[in-house]
Amino acid sequence: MNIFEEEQYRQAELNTRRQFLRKCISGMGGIALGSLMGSTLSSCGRSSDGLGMLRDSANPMAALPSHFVPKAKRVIYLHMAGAPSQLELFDYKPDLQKLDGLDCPPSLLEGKRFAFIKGTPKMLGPQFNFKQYGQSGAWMSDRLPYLSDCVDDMTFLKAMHTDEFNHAPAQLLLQTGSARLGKPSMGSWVTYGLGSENQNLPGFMVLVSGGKTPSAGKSIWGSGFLPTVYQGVQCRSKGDPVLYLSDPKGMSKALREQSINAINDLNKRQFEEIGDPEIMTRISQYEMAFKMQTSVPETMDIKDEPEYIHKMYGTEPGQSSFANNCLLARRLAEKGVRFIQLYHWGWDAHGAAKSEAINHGFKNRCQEVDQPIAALLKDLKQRGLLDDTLVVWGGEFGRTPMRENRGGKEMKFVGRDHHLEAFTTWMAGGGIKPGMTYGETDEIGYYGIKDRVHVHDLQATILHQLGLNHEKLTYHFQGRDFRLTDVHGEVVKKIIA
Amino acid sequence: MRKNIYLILFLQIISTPFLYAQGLDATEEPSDLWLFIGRFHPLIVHLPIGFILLAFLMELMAKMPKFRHLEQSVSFVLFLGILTSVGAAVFGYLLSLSGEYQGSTLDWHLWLGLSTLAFAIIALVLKLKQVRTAYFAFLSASVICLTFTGHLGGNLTHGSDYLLRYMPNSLRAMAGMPPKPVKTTKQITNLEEAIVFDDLIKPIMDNNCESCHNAEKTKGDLRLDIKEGYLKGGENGPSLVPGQPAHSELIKRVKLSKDHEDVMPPEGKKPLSKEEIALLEWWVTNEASFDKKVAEVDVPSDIKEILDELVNPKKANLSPVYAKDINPPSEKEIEKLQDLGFSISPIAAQSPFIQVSHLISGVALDDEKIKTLGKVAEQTAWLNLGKTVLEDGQNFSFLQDFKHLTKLHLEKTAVKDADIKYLTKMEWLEYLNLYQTEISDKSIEQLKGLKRLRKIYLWETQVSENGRESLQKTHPELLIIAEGLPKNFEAKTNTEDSTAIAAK
Repeated sequence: MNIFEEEQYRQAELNTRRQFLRKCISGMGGIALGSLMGSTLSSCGRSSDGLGMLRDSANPMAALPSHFVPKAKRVIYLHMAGAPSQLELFDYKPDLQKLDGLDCPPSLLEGKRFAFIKGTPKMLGPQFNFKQYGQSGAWMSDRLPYLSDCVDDMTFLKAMHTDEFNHAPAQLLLQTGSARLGKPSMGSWVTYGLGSENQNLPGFMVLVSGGKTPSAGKSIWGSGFLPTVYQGVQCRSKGDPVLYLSDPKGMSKALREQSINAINDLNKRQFEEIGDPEIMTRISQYEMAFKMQTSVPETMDIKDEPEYIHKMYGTEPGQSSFANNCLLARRLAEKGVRFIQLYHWGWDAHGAAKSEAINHGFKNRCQEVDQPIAALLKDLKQRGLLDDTLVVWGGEFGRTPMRENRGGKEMKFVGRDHHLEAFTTWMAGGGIKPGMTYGETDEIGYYGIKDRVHVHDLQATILHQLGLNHEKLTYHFQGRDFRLTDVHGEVVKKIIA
Repeated sequence: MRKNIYLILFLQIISTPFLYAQGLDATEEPSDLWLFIGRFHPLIVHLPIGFILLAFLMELMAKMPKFRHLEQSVSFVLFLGILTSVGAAVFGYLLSLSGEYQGSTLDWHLWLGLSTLAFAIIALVLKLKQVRTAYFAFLSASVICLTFTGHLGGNLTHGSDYLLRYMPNSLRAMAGMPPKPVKTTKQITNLEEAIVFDDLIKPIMDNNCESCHNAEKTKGDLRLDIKEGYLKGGENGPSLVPGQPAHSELIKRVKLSKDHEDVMPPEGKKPLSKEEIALLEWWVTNEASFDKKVAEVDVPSDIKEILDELVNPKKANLSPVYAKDINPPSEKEIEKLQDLGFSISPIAAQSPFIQVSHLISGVALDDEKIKTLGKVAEQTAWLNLGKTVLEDGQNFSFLQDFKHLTKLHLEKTAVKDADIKYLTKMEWLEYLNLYQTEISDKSIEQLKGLKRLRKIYLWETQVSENGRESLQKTHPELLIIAEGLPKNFEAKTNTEDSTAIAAK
């Protein structure tokens, strides 16, 4: 059967009762019916904000206006998967040092659930020396010597808290607003709401380092119920940046272009018949893939960066590292990519093995990220990009002030358990007040006692800086409007410049 | 049978005003049962409205031959209207016993409602007696009374400005009404001299509480439109305990969770913001004084922040240029520019101003692109031409039309000192990025003319330290970023291992 016959057959198929009933069973009929009854967006994905935030499915990445004048145009989110210890980096607790090695009072343990702590753990003081830095006098440990030069550009949220104490649900909650699978990630929401400035690159790009993807898997940059065109595109910093972008053997670029055009013509006809928005997504993905053949390699090739930049970031072309990803993040920001998500794995310092001990693995992690992040901040600032780029750094939760005692025994290495009541996240640029510390934890860093910020509040604040009202950025799905912050979230107004 | 019905109706009409008048003098509390029934008044009132209007409509329609048959049913419908009117009147009377509604509006509502009923009864009697003209006159009178009654009822429920609050000025002019009063919240200029209650608290109460707690509508026996009302309180005693917000009903109620039964303002109305609640609490803490000035009371830091926000709203953060009234760019031009490779979108929903960026590297700006771009020059607020190459023979003179720019990216372009004169008209420019260009000290004098400039990027340009200093002198608020990155990066020697454990 040649391609034209196939097309005819497809057309005929759509008109048979048997086919229709069969598709009804599989749910396609539902989609078809829904879309026949109105525009392709009326059945699902109708935005009910009345602010003209209606997506033309033919051009899903077209730049759209925000709800109000934005301070930031893009986000670089540095997620330290596994959750770094705030008590060894930013949240200095000298009083905890005095309690070091003493039994934890039962009042802190009653009614609490921990991932691993059993019985009565011992308190664990800060493991590294702290000092105040910069004009703002922010406390920082000696593990981040490079970043401590940048404190006056940073804003610390010291009393962050979350609802989940296991990696995957906490990462999902942070990135998608829900601990269960199936919700769109922050980057997807943002690209859905604002589109992208550069039509030759995906609007939402993901760079992963540290040897593993985060525990929650690729769902944390998935698009959930939004059209799949808004999901994050993962780029590798080693080898082909995006797999299968290069032309297969014996296939010229021109032929590839013709094939894609032909496939898209067929898809367009199919879309006119059925109206399933996913078809438009497929079309734009094909087009995007073709554009990316030239745009991605030129963006992802860091060889043309001057030597001093490589030195500053600590990058080596061809390597896969967090440093390379930071430099790539700056290049993507320059290109107008809307949401750049970096994941660095291996921060889960329980102390159960050398690689995950505060006195070994954690130190290596700090060394891996310290120089590149500082370089990224300075680099963005020099280029005038920090003004409208919001940089966010943080883990999915914090770590306990108690030393982990897996199975109730003291372990050989030093570590801390997961902790959801208090952790530190910092932001820089993008219209956030620089050089400020917001929020406070108690003497031992166990609870936030002032200006607590929930994960949903952080999401609301990030959207706010992009000019989006988190209560109005909605998507109609399963009969109700969904949003990133669900029914929560308050913009942290006090940290906005 | 019919006579009996007439008798009952007649007694009803005669007795209601007496009952009402008696109710006004009654000092004893009406029983719960009466109030419970009274609350069904809003439910039942809509029935007579429907029936009587329907009867009137049917009568009109029946004048047409095609609808002649409707005439048979008019008396039935009208009878239903009368029956339900009686119910509505009784329930309404019981509702008025609650004392939540007072004043002349209520009196008018009552008498007009009864007139509606009376006219409807007379109309029905005349209809049955076949007196056509008089019948129609009374039916019309009933409908007119009905309209006014309904309107007043709405005013009682929602407040007297409910109906016309959003009437557009064009319609107001047609109706010969004065234009919509612009809500002037007295802008506080001198915070220290502001009266806490009058200037800070009363506006909150007027916006959120006063519509249900006033002279005409006194929900829960509480009036918040006059100062006496606060201390006198309502059903649940005084609304305030000066100095003790935790024991003040007013504060307790506004702090309840959104879905709590007793939360004020009630469910469905806009809840108070965190800041508003904080201000109320602060006022009660300070003895709920009605005449003290801000300077005379203690102002904690978090309240100070809220007050500063009130005095100088953060909106001033945004350039005033965005408030300018200009025509939005034409769709056609926008589409053309998008086809030419520009990324364009409004800077915010509903704003005529746009952001334009040209991010495709390696594509030069030719004559066509520059000409098309010039057509949206007036609307462009943010222009990003970073890394953009001009085609041979083109120059940057097109920039002089962009007089509303607030952000301009010219980094990594061939812009020269001679081109800076095209920027001097940009009186709104706040952000200028010139890094990696050939700009030198020669441009400094012209850059000084940009009065609103807040940030300028001069890294990797020819501008010397002296040039930067002289610019800084005239623009003390300007942030000049030119330091650049260290060409010879010094690695920090690894800090001593300060691990407490390592010492062991």
